[in-house]
Amino acid sequence: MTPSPIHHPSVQSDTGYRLRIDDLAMMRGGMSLIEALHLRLDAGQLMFLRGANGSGKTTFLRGLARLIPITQGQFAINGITNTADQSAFMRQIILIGHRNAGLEHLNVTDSLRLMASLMDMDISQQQIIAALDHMGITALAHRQMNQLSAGQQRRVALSRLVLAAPQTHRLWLIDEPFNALDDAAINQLCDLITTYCHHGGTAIISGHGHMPLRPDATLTLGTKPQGVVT
Amino acid sequence: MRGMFQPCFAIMLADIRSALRYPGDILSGLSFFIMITTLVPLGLGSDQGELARIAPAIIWIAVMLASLPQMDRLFTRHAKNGVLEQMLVSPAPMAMLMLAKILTAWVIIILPLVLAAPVLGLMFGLPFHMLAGVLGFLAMGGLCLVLIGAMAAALSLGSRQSGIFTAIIVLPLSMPVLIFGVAGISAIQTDHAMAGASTGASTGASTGHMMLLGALTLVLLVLSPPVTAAAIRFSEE
Repeated sequence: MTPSPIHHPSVQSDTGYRLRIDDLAMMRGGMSLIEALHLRLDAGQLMFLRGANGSGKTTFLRGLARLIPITQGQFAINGITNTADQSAFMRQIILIGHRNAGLEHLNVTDSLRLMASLMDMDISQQQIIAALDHMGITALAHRQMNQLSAGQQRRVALSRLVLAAPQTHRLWLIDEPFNALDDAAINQLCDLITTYCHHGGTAIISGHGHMPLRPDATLTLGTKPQGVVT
Repeated sequence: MRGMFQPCFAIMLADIRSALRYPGDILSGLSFFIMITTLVPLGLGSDQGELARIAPAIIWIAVMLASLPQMDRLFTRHAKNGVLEQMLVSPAPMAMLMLAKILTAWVIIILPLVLAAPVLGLMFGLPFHMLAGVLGFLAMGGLCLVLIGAMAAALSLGSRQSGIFTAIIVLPLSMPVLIFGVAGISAIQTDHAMAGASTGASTGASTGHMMLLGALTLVLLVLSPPVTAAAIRFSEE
């Protein structure tokens, strides 16, 4: 397998690729989901991760977040490899999984603050409000998490992205972000991702079917032969 | 180092806040504890000497039984809503986050029982001047129980009969706690009896038990957080 061609050499940073994947293989439940994957993403690029249910989108994203061991190959984010020190590696990424990680017994502000603290960010009250405002949920700031609808909880989870600036968090891994969101929230999220990539952030978004943004690259899982279509 | 303590404090604060906002868990454990310790004297009759003799064992068994269901639920909610996943992608070491979680669990699960124990001790004819010693043993042994309970809860995550599984892991491991704890409180009673007889200073047979319990706590403090972290990492795979 040969590395995929680089289509945006102009935005490539001095430190090399933002995301470099070499000969990656991943298994799930005895099934091989990803084989011999080579991938390069530059700063500012957005990749759409497409595939049917069970094709390994979540596995791939969680593998990049080092939650699931890879069976072969290696990858590096901004030059920091998958075997590097936990702290240095995790500082660069943010993962929004399909679970929202909201603490149902806390209010929205406190829940978001805990998530920011887990990412080791020093967050002021204004930043929290700004993050909620960006996802259009300022009015919910003092509501309990368990009183929110599924879409509202998803908005709270996604508002963490506002706190993760491209200067510090180099790679966003977002698992099916458009599920449960209404049109207004989808637009807000698209704005957020576009701005992030415009300022040099790199994002991978999974989904099936329609993608409201124009990605720089698309990786389709579950079809063979596997590869990157740019 | 900056990255280690801020997430830990945040977890402690969030857990205590949640527990205070919905005190049902604390109150159910506490009421179970009070129930056992009041029913036993009622059932056994009012022989003060007999009650004082079995008091240490009853109090310890009540602490263990009242805390077990709460230990079992230590991680279930966080596992379901994805908070554990976010802890794993935190720059802070998972073992440190688990230590924070365990120390908070001590505050939420054990501390209310420790504070209730003196009142209940009076029902067993435990004299008031012995209470400081009893509290010390319960606090220290309670920390052991949470350290064991966290490992068990993490290991049984994802299993359908997690309650049974947790109990099977916890019971044998917490036996030393029960033995040293009961022996320690009994020793306080004899220390006081002897001190009373010789009018000298307290002889301190209980100190030995306290040191053994302390040694056990230290071993578990080193062992439990990484084991808990590894078990959670495995369950989240």
